[in-house]
Amino acid sequence: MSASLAAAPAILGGCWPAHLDAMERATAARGPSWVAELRRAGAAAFREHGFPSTADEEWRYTSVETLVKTGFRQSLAAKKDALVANTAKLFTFGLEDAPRIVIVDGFYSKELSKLDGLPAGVVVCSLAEAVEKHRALVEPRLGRLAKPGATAFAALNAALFQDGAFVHVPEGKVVDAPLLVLHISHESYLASHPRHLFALGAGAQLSAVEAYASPSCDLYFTNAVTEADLGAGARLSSIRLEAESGNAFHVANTQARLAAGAFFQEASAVTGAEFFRHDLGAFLGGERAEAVFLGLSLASGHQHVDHHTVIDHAVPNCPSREFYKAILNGRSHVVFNGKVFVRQDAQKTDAKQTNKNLLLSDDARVDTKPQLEIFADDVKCTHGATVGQLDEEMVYYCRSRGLAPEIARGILTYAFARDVLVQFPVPATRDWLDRSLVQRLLEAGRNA
Amino acid sequence: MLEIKDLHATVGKKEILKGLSLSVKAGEVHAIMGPNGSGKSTLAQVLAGHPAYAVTGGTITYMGEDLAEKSPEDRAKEGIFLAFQYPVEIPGVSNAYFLRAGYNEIRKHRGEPELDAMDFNKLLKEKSKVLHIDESLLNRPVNEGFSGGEKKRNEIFQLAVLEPKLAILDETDSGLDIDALRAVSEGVNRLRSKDRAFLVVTHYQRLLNYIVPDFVHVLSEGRIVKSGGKELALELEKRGYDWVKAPAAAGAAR
Amino acid sequence: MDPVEELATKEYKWGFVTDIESETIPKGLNEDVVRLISSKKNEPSWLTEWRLTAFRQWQKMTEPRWPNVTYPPIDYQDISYYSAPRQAKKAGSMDEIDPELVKTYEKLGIPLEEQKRLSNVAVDAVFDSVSVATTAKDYLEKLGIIFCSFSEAVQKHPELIRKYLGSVVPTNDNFFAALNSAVFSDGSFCWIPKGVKCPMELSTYFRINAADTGQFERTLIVAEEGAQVSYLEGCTAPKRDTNQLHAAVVELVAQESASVKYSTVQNWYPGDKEGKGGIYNFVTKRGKCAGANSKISWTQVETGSAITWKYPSVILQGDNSVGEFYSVAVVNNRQQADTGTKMIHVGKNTRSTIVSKGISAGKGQNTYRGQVKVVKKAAGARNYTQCDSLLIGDRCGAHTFPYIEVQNHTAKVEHEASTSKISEDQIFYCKQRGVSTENAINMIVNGFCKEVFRELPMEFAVEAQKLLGVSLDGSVG
Repeated sequence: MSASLAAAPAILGGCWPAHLDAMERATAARGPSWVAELRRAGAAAFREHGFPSTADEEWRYTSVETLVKTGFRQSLAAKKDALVANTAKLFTFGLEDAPRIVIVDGFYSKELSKLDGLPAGVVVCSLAEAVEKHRALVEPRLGRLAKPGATAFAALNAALFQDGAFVHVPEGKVVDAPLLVLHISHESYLASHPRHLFALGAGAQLSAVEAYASPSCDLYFTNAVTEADLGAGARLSSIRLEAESGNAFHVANTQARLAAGAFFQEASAVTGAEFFRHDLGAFLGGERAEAVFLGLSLASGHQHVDHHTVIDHAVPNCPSREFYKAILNGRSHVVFNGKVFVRQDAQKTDAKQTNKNLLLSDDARVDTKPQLEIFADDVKCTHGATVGQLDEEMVYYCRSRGLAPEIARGILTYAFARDVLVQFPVPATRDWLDRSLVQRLLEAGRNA
Repeated sequence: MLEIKDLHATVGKKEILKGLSLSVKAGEVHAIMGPNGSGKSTLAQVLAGHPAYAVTGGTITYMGEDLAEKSPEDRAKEGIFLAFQYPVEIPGVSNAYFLRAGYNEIRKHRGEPELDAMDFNKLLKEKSKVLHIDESLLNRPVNEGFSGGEKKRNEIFQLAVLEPKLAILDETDSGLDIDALRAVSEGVNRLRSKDRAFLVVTHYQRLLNYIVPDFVHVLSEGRIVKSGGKELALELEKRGYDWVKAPAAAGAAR
Repeated sequence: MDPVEELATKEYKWGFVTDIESETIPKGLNEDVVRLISSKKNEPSWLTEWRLTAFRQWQKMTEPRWPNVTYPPIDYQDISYYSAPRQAKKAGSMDEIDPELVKTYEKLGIPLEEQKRLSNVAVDAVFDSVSVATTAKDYLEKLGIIFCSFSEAVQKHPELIRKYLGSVVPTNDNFFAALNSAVFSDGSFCWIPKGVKCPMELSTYFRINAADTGQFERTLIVAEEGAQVSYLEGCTAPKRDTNQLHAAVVELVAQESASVKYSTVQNWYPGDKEGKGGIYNFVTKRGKCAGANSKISWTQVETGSAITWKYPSVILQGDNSVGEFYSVAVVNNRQQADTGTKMIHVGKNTRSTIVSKGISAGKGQNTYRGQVKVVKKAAGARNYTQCDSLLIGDRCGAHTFPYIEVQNHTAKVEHEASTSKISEDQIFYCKQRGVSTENAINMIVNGFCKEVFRELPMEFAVEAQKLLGVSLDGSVG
């Protein structure tokens, strides 16, 4: 509470000015001017503000000090690596036959992507290709939802992104099969800045899995930005899977804009990464637009997991719902900061936010800040946050039915997670998550 | 007591009542029946003075005075009571406190002395015994956490305490199981008297098995299209509403 | 007409000015002013030094910007830091008090004369910078209880003051606490000896009268082992077009098994409808549950002030200690409030409860800011927080900023918040039962605040309910 908004001195990391300079040289003579403008804006914003310190209210519980001190490498061209081709097969997340677009270390991989069988008119391609071929779709959106000056990391991404996925579902089209958007980190000590853009026309529907994974246990840095623009009545349901290496840094910024009647759901599962920070925002710009954010985090060791959400109710009659759960072990630190804005015109807003944390170890730490900012009177807004342990009464009940206490704790921990997991979209991936997490959850509870 | 002539009323821009006429004398029980959307609840709300409903034509005369310009609280003070279809919840305000506030306003209006909390509680206890209302209900916040049946019984209990001249029951039977329906009806029957008139708004005939009306009116598209005695309700039960939906004559009831 | 638009605006009824000759020192603040205040109070040199240390710390600090309030910059050199009614010295008996002052307090509903006093409440009356009277002192003295003005305590009980002053709120705690430490003029001191249960409510009534002055009072309450006390604080100020600064510090100490209950009904002048004038109420209140099994409970009803900035807090240091915070904060017209609490769990098995009810009307902005912190060694900590907002009208705002920081896995922390409005349906329902709009709103608002009001001592609860009605007058539409 004693944080001050007085401008903290900008922290400018050692390797970053060099990365910006190299990128500027590399892109000086290529690419359209509107992309160059975005890169310039990002570089300028970063050079001006640098990284945030913990004196910045939005970074109060999340220190980027280690990240800033680490010297990361930069890759200015895609590399071929046979190993990746083999390991990529591991990352299907229950979607073996689904269409997929794969980005490796920030660069599009044509070999690993599988884009046949999409309905006619639906575009899934690399962002670099889309910039060339679909300017009318890309230009009005790229950098307009996740603005380059929003955070230091959004600024770096705007300046340094190489590639990512571009998805366009035209008006009225419904894509039945879920789409896998996969980023693989392969090279150690590399900083990559993948950037994805989803554009859904009026009434379009898509379900997707946006995954970040690595076959290694290396230290590297993924700094992702995702923008999603939903036309009137469009529906985008996605799971965001964070299965990074246990030593990785993962920072991401996802911004969605919803027109009237649009529906945006993002369910986030975090299992990997030493350092994780996700800024997720939805702007409800048309009546009856609806946003649903779900989250399940399993943190252990020295993991730091930080979810920052903003739901901006700008117009009347929009519901929104947030439900985040975290299970903490070891010396992990979980942060939740959920902000709900209800602007003056946004009467009849129905916003609900819940954050629940299960502490299983002596050294874990939770900081949660569920915030409401309300400027309209005819609204229904609630939030709730809890931090606690397994209910010993429930453990006792299980024991009275013959279960050993550690088994009982394992089952109850699994039940705690399942409560939110069952609400995830994309059934195939949800089931895969359930199968792959059950053992981990049972063990996490058992050792509590 | 109540004289409605050629009443037109709108909610928003939509006209719901389109020339309704009705006359009610003290001691009488009138049932207002009709299909969904015929204007039954609108009539109840218009009589109570709900601000969302506008009277656009005709007259309502109550006890010889024009009702149109009167505020809802003045109507209440002069003896009009509406048992709401959906009673609202008022968190933190106890039933007893709420009722005393209303009760004393009505007494003040009549030029009678106000009752203090002690005397009023005595009165509440007596009334609750007569109506078999659980005393614990009195100290709970108004309607908060009440079941559907409890809310409706609470409305009748309020009726008993406030002793109105004209009681309007708006779909008091909706959402009640048979036991609750019986309990509510018994309460109403106990409160029937030669000085008090009832307007019972209901969709189904079953309530009228328990609260036997003197007159039954059928409302359709904002007008009374048929009036009769209690046997009319039984006929409606058998034949449905379609046969009375005849568009023609605005049946003026006595 | 909209049924809820019918309310007339009532005036702030405590807005009169007492015509009394005062001694007010020139505006401005420097070390000499600090020394002057200290010398006027005939303070020992250690206290003068303590003030000067605070002043030097303050000079290096900046005003906090994080509260969710806006106001033009305060010119700290344009304030007079000391004003006292001209009266030879503090009256020995009630007969010696200036009758104007007696009248003033009577008008405020606080009779000071023996025969008219509220039974069961002892009052310390503070007028601008000084305490003018303390009632029931002799009776309390027989029980070993010290209840007197802060200045008197400095003279008569320097060892207690030296021991406890700044022990809960250090001089450099924050900008306004540092300022207060440098220039505080008077306030109340209360000490309950071991094992004594104070038989009556102790209270301080603060009145700002002079123009262009600040009020910087300091209250210190200490309950020794097993002692119990309930303390009330009330405050009003005249209507003036300029803003006045009130920066108080309250420190509470509860030793082993002791309990302190502190209730505030804050009714400083809130400014007019357009936001002109009113008190800036920038207050630091903190209690320390120093001993095991101790308890500190804050109850506040905040209806006044143009801007309120306060977070009555509890440091739960003793094992099994209990902290409570019950708050009703009302903002109407252009009032702004950023208020809440901090519960810092340090000892084992400590428990805290927070119930906050925010009411926003007119163009008011109401912010709840609360911190619940469970440090690593605080095993078995429990917190329950309930934070509700009620909005009346569509030009106001309600903001909730809870900070929940848990570093011990045996903690159980629960936070719930909701937002609601007074609905047209509720008002119509009340009117249908014969209750006027004004009474309906009062009833609904009081129902909303019930959980807090029942924590107030009886006499104050009634007062608070009435106050709430007045504060919200004309707010609906």
